[in-house]
Amino acid sequence: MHKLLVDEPGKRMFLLGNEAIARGAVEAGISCATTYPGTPSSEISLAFFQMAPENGLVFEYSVNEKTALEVAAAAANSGVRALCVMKHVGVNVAADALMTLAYIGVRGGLVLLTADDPYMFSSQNEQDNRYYARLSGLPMLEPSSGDEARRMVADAFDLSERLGLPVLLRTTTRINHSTEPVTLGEIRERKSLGEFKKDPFRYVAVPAVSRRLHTRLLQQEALALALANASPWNAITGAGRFGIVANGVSHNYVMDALADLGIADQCSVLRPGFVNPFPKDLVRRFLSGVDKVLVVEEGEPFLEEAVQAAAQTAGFTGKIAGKGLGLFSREGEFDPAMVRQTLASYFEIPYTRPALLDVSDTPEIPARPPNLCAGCGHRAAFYEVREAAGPDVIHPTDIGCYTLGLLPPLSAADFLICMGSSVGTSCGFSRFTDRKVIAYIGDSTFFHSGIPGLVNAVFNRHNFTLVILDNGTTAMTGHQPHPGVDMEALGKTGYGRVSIEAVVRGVGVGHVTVINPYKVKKSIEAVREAIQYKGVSVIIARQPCVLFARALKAPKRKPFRVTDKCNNHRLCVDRLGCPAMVVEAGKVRINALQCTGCAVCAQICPEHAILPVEGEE
Amino acid sequence: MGTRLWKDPVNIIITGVGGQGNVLASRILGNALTAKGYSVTIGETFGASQRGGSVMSHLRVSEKGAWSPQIPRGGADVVVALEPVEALRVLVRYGNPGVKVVANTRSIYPVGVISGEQNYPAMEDVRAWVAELSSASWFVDATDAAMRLGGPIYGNIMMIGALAGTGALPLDRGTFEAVMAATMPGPKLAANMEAYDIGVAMVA
Repeated sequence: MHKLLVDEPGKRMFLLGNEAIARGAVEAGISCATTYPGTPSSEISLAFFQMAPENGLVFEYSVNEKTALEVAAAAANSGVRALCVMKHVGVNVAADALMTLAYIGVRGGLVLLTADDPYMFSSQNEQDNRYYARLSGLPMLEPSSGDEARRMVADAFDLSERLGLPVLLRTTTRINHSTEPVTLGEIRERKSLGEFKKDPFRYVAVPAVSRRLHTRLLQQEALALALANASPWNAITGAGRFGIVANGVSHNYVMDALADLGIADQCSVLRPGFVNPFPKDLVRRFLSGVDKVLVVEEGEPFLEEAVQAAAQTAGFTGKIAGKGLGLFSREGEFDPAMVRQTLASYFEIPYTRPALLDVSDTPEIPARPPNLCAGCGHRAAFYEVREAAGPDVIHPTDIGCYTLGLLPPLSAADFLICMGSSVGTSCGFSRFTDRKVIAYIGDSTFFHSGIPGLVNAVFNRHNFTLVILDNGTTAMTGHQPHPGVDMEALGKTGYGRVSIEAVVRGVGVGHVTVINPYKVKKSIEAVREAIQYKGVSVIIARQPCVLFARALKAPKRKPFRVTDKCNNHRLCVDRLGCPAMVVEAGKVRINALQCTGCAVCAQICPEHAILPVEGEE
Repeated sequence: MGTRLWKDPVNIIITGVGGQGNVLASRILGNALTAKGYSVTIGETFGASQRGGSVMSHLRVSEKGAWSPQIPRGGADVVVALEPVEALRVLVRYGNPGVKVVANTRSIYPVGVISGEQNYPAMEDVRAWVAELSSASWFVDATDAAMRLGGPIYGNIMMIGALAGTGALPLDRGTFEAVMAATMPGPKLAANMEAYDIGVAMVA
């Protein structure tokens, strides 16, 4: 049995925040879960993917977040409970559906989980998705720990059904990726099938209907406000005159700091967990008991501005500080030591910093940015394109492992904004510069949002080459399937399969080639031909992800070694940057532990000095 | 509850290079300490850095209750480094005069070092700097020993064994074995316990 399906209420388990959230959804009796994978949310969906065959939950890796939300919206409007999971920027993709779904509403509960990523551990921006709640008019809950997230999920579904609105649940990376003891709750019964009652003047968002639906949304928002003001998620602890407002993980940093500073009895701490509609009445009550306020929140001054607005109507004249006075940054994530220090100085608490190390004469530590794995097919493809096309090329790229081709020696990334942008921006770059444009996109990203750009390129007669890096999985986020994956080969039944090649040809691309990037010479020739083509050409560079192959226990290739024939040209090191290669005492060596036997370096060595390791299996 | 902690919370950082098994090592250590009755919170930030970047897990062990999932700057009590220069990187941000360090000696070169743009410090220098920046430090050849045992992944268990051997944390063999036994079959368990014992012996 999947560990998150254990029906033992009260049992304590040591769970990742994302596992706790998945457990909360199981306890809430969800029938439907949809997602497009994205860090830091991915492990929530992984749990559903693993447990679905066992408990009958309908789970799908949708092609993108918009589709994921649409599937969930239909499920919820058929009367079953649906959870839709995505990272913060995924909500941008789903936003078109979300904004009007807020009007239409839901019958069964629908919770949209947005996993924000302050500091951008694995993201292209650190947008604060609390503003989506305000923009859409939807209720939003925000937990401060994994166990609280578990309980909040169930409550979010009740709230969604009570208001007939989707509910947003916002986490940040530190909540998703923290592991702590979680107490299991009861598992509610789940409906397997719903029923859709036709009511076009309720569900079809044409202008005449939407005008009424907007009125409804505003009415429901007023109801939600009353609930927020009375919600147990909006807790005030302590009764001191120093007021602190803190959300999410920042609340934990505040509680740590109060313990460290020994000032818990002098403070009142408001933790808004039901953050939209903003519980103004509660905040006014809170303000009546304090002299000055510090707002501790990562991201934008969302709470701070709301507290200031509430203070204005409450006639509170004390100081309210946070980002406005520059105490806290709008960038990155907080360091608990910084929170402690800021708290102490704002409330004038005598505090001596703990002794730190003198690191002034520590040597320079070499930076360690992430890198493509040893044997990664993307590296080979980047090398081959460079050999065929030279450096004077613009490389729009996309979101996935291959974005790591940014650094030298590969230098295979020049422009990136969002999922699918490689294709759309290529249309622009090829028209407004005289440079050759060769774009990179991964297989999963191509399905997610690359196809419309390609259709656009064919229709508007743009001129570039798109390299689709097909490694047979959604690698960066942890090897989730996508529509091009052969699911039967993975032992999973009940899936169709979409051929990338057929899609590309189907939309009318005039020149399509499939290469195996491990075959260096052939691949270079194929790229040369493709870039000569006037119009849109596509190269599908197909080679399974080495990490995924290892996880699936695919047969291993023999590692390679550098023989005495090496004449130190170092093309292998200088052009590939493979982490299996090391220069020691002026000579190149291959680390057999890391080498996957892809043989790409062996093919580019002018002396043919790189050969398979003999003897061993 | 096991032995009283010498400090509450005890803040442990496990650091290494993405792909070395940092997350799994922190889970195993967290499970063992939870089994001893302590309240453990682990903070991790996995994602892009798992592709060969620097990675860190923060473990906070308490007798009282949950602490936030991030250790404050300058607040590490114990650093376990699966790769030697990662020990230095962590000490610069999270070190303090009382910190103890257990580090693997096997280097993994970053891409800038492979391409010759950056230098990887000599091992004797790394040892000297770590010794200077900590109250106690142990360097162990875990990867080499793990290869002899059957694979680099045993190196992480050796590091946990070494950590237990230093006495920096209230870990014992029996609890560790019980925790491991819950997740793996007999033969695999035996190999892992051998790795643990080798680790303990490495710091004896």
